[in-house]
Amino acid sequence: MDEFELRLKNLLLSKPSEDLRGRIFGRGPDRAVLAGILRRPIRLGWAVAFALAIGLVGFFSARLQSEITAPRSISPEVIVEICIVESGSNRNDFDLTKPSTHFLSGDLTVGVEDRRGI
Amino acid sequence: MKRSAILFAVFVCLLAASFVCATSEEQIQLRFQIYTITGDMSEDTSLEERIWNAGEDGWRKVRDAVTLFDRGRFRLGKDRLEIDDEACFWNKTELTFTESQNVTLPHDRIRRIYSPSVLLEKEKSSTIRIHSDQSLEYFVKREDGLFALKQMEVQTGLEIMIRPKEERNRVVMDDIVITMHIVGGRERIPGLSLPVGPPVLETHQYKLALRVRFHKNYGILLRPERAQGVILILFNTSAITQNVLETIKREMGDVSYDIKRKTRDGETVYEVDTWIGGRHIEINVFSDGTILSKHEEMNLDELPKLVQDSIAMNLGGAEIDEIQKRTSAAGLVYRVEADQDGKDITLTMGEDGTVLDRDVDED
Repeated sequence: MDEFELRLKNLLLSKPSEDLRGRIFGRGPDRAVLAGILRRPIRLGWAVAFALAIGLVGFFSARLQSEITAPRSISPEVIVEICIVESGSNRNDFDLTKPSTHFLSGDLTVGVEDRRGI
Repeated sequence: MKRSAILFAVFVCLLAASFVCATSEEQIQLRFQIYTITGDMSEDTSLEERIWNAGEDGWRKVRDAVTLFDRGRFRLGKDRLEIDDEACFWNKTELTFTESQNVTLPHDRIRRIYSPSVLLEKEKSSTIRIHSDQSLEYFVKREDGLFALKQMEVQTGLEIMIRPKEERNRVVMDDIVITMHIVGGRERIPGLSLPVGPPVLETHQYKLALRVRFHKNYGILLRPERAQGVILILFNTSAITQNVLETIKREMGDVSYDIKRKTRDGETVYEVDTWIGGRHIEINVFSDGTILSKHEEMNLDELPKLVQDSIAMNLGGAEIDEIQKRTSAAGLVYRVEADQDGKDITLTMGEDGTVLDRDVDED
């Protein structure tokens, strides 16, 4: 590096103006403003409240969405009541056969007599 | 640190508030009585007003298998099952919508299967399943000509899918689906006329659309095709909150009750009536479960001495119709209704027998 180059290197030059930068590189985001916002301290309380609000909005919009779009036939059932019948008798409660079958409950001996020979 | 503690407390309060709101939210209570009737019976049913809520085509599909009614009389020999919009009787005995009421009807051909009471969220699909685990017995003819008794494990039962909503003080159930898994009959055994053969299992499904009044009894009679019996579903509906139900259970126990929703000074109040040991008890409850007032029927000899003396002094010779002990936030009063010389007298007294109000009805 010769003496001229050395002097040129140590020469103090002013920065190009923002206007000049804009004209050369095109106008980009105003980083100074953005940086200002980003650097701003965020309070814990606001962060929690914001997260809670976003969560609630998400929950209700999802719920609303499912009510609007889910076909009725596959909508989830909310309550399922299962009642097991403990019948007092040994007859099935949903047996709609005529009650002449009732005699099956007790002791029963059944035989068939072949009287064809008489 | 202090701020996050405050926020946490607010969050907990919000959660608690949402829970209170959920339990104070009005739901639809459906109370059922489900019967099976087999064999011959005579029936006489009527319906005061149209409750079918769908088109004629839908009704045409089910009308041979389904009868809707609010008044019905079913005769099985000498015995009768009678239903009207307020009560249900087997001969002279009232059959209530109480789960705990153990009813064995003294007749082979009618059985009360179950009387469930369910609390359903409005506009949410819910399913009520009732099934019997009881095995089925039947005979088969053996090769040697004798008969063998066999058992079959099969799940029979009833499933009611429902999605209730409230419209202009009515309960609208546009898409009820009732599915029944039943024994519709028996296979014939050659040489035997008795229906003791292997069970014929059938599944029947009915789609109904109903629009019914609150607090009124209705009946659905289902006649499965080819079956030798019918299934009778009695039901009524109420608008109620979980908190009110808990208050009823706490104050009255597991009893049958009538409930009416009223508005007093802009607030919803549930008027609940029941009879315990022949005595009338009424409680008025707010939707959050707090009691506005409680009225209990009393006997004269159960009243404090001062109140008894006051009644003797103010209503001497009168015929006492009813005495009520009334408790509310305002305090305790006794209310006596009596008939004196053809006049209806209502006396309200304090605990010390002081007459607070006297109302005379000349008619």
